[in-house]
Amino acid sequence: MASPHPQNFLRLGAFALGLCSTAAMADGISSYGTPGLIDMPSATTTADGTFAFTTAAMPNEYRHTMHFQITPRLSGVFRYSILKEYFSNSIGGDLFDRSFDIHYQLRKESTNMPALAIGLRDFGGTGIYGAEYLVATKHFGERFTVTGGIGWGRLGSYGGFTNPLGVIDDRFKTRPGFSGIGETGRISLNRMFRGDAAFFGGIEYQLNDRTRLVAEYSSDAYTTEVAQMGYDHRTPFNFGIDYRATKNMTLSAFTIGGAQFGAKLSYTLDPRSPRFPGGTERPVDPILPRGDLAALGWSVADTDANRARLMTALSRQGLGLESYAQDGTRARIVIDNPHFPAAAEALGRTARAMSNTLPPEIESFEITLSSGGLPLSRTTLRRADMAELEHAWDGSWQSFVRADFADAADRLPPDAGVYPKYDWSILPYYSLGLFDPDSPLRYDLGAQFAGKYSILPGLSVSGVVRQKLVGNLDSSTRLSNSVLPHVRSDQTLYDKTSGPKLTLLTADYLFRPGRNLYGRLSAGYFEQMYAGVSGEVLWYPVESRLALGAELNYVAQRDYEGGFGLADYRVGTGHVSGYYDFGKGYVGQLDVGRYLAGDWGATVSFDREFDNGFRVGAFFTLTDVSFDDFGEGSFDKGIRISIPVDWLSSTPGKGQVAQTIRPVQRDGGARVSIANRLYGEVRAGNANELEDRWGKFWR
Amino acid sequence: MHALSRFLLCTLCAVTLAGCSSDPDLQKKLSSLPLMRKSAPQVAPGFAAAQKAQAPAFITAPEDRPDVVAVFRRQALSDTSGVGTWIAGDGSQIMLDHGIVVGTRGFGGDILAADVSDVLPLVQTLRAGVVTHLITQIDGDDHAITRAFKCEISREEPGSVQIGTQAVATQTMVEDCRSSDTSFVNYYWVVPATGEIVQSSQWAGPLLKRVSIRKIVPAKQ
Repeated sequence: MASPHPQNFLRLGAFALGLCSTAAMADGISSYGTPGLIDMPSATTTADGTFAFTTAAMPNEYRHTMHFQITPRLSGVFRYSILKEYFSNSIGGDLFDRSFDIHYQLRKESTNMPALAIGLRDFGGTGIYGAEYLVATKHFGERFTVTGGIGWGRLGSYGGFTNPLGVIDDRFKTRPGFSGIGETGRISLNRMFRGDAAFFGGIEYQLNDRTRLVAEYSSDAYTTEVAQMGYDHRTPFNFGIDYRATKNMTLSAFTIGGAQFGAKLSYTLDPRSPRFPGGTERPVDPILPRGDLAALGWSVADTDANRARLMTALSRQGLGLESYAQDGTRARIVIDNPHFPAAAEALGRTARAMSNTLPPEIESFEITLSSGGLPLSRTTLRRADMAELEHAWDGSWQSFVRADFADAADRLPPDAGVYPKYDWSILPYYSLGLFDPDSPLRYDLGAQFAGKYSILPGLSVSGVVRQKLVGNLDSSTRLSNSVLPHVRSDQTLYDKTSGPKLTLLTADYLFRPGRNLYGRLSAGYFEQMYAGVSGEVLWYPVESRLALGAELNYVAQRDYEGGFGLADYRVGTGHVSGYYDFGKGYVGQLDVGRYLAGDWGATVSFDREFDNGFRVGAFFTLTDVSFDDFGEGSFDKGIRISIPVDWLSSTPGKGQVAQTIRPVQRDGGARVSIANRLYGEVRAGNANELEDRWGKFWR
Repeated sequence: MHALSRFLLCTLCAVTLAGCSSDPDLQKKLSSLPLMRKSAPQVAPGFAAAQKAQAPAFITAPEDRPDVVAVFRRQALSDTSGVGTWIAGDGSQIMLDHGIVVGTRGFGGDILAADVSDVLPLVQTLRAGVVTHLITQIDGDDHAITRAFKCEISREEPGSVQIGTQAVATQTMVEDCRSSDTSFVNYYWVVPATGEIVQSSQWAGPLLKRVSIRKIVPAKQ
């Protein structure tokens, strides 16, 4: 090879690339992890759909907060706080507190008027941070921000005055106290906006790109901290400095009450900004000119050869060819896509492989997406469109418009030799135990063997065995005090076993009972705690945003050993479910039915789902179990986050790192966990889902 | 490898908190973990085939990492759009429409496609003017986002570019582009007689940023 001369070739680096990025200065995050100054809230919001993780440390007090901007105006917070020596005057010891906040921007800032927001802090917990506020914030130029508001509860504890809402009703003038642990988890409507109110406010000054100075007048007297934790409150003025260390990380130092120092770290995360947008996976071969293909002399009649070439090309992409048929100028195939979380990418890669391996006489491609052999949807693409749109600037949209999507209630039978199939893996696993006051974070780490034997399309046997290697989940000594059947609260006892555990062993049959319908029959060991039989049917047309399902299970509780043994408890459970994709990434689900403890009720779930697969959501369940019988927390609820593997690794791979965070796990409103519930299994083939990630079609 | 010993090896892997799988793709991912034994990176089959066919080639370097120089070979030339797909040894691709970048694959933040049909005639015939340049990129939410750039094309000094053993006389053309939130400047070294772009410095997406591209004449193998 001739060596290139470096002269005037690489020198071009000197020409600067003028990417205009006038990054707007981010607003501040308070020690409570919400939009605000130091302790006081402000009326700003964070960027829609982003997370802010904040850890604030003060003497004997630590606040760990996850803030999520649910909609452009509404944000929600989950906070885990540790207050050392909180109970020193009475029973002794530390307080581990979980709290939820809601912050809603009533009015956006305009040229002359400030932004206005209302917020509820710690509205469902023990109330140590319990407060409500109404706040206004106005930016002046690029550097000054002024905030002022009125607060109740903890935010009305310094410089308070008689509640102005008292003019409506005298009841507003007093704020009832906290009546005990049984009250936790409920929304404390009876306290909101009651008792003394107080004004608060502050100023922020953006010194330069990275540094911001903050001063606030705080209406929080830190009453409990002063009385029980050795705090001193000398002044209502708090001062702080924020330093933006990186684009996403801010470090802060501040004073509280003129006598305490604190430090804070905030990290923001935008689910729409993976490190490598669109992934870095190896691309596919470009579409070869028709003339070049014609020269190869492939015979359209030689179906076996055509099939073999296509299968080789697809398997290079990690796609499985399950069925191949030709019908005039049309090629019909069924593919198994174990890799690409974006089904559109699997379709795009399949269609390009077909373009390069099938004789030129084939004009159209009919591709049926399947999951474990279960046909999901059928996409028909014209071969000429593939060549025409491959490099077209609007090829992405055009190819979506020209594709035809249909239900795939039936499928071609699998080609000889495709079934049976087996897959296995040995991977590490982790398991977390959160919020035990004795040790707020417990974990197990170990090896997991998983295997799946697919006998026929839709029919398979799966198993998972786990062996713990290190961990301390078994060190928990908190036994359940539940008055209900212990359907979930005996986790501690399950964690005591150290030998290998059979986590899952099921036989499953997934099938299509008819057009727009999906069915599932399962039997075996579904999860750590339950074994039994389960049947499910789902109605979900391919272009529909709505899906409806019904599930019936009869399950037996497993013993604690992790083998095949069963305990005495048996229960019939089941739900009817509605799923709705509201568009713009909002997905809702309603399940109504009978839960594991025999209680009847409903679960409401709401998720924000980014098109790249990142999900964050919240759920709650109300059943006929009374709040008192339920115990701490009053009813089941939680939040969940699911990060797709390909978001983390930037190369395709199905699966996700998921974590559900419940303030406390009790026995009311509990469901059996089933690995392959239909909605999750079949949704990738839905046309709305395909459209969401169609940008991947030409990747 | 014997099935049992492979199984045992895998168990050992899992114990060392790596893992393994019957799935070749997952296996590939696992073997890239720090503790796993590395195999030599494989040359992409598409590159090997283009190399064997002695397809045309260029060298390129990202301008913020001039030490990374890669050879690309033309893998295919579309008969419908005239766009060439060029492939590197690691399998990543750059798409060129007569020398102007209209696509990238495998770098992250890839350009999916672009429309340079107004740009090309001016650049190739060394004329100044104002034109529209469309670029469609993939974003972090897997959406194809098209940006329209207003571009001013102008002539700069004539010069010469060394291609193999020959110094080729060229005319430098500058394309200064601006959209609502992004701007870039591309440089093209054009052979006046043929309109061929033999060297360029172009914007190629948010991650790859600027790349330098120069036609080369590879030695016969």
